[in-house]
Amino acid sequence: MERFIERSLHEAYAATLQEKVPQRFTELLDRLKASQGGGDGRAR
Amino acid sequence: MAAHDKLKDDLVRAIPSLRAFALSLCGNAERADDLVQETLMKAWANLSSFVEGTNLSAWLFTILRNAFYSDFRKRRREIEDADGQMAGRLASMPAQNGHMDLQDFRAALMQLPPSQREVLILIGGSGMSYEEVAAICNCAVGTVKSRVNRARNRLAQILSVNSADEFGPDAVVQATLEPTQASSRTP
Repeated sequence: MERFIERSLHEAYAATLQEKVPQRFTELLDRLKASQGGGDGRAR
Repeated sequence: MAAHDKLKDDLVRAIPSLRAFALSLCGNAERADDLVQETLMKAWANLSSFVEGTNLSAWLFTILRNAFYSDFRKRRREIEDADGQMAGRLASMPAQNGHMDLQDFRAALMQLPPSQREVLILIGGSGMSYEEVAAICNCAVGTVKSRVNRARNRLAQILSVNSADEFGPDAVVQATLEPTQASSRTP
């Protein structure tokens, strides 16, 4: 039983990991990066 | 701009893990992606609070988790109903065909309280350490361990399976085997 749960946890997680990253996220990051301009948001 | 390029690359690399975690928390792909989007926006807006060189994934998971619970509190009733309906829709008795698939497992997972579900996925799915999960969930390592333990036990109950034997032959095969086994015991 324990093995089934562990295997299923891995499979459930891995199934999503293998999906292609939706374009909406890369576009969002591009927009955020563009709106940030030349400044660096990192404090440290 | 180079720092932003690197950061963007780091965030893009983290997206699959964030989506997997979000999906395990809310059980709905569309809502999970909304959570991930909210997480990315909050992360970008609060970059000054991220200490470079520390664990970016853990920081993002914390933001996502906070966003989930904030949304969860707002829509508690709706989510509970949705979870119940979803579990009912997806649940199929494993005894019907003698085995369980990932859909059965996901449905069972969604019946756990979020506090148990999240630690189980972070430990068992993403492979994080108890210490990392404790930091993300803002609780003691012992609390994480007991939640994982309770979650595993509860999953076993939900799946109505108490031993590996029950993943064996289906009902038809078992019915075929039983008389043979019974007769083999007869002197």
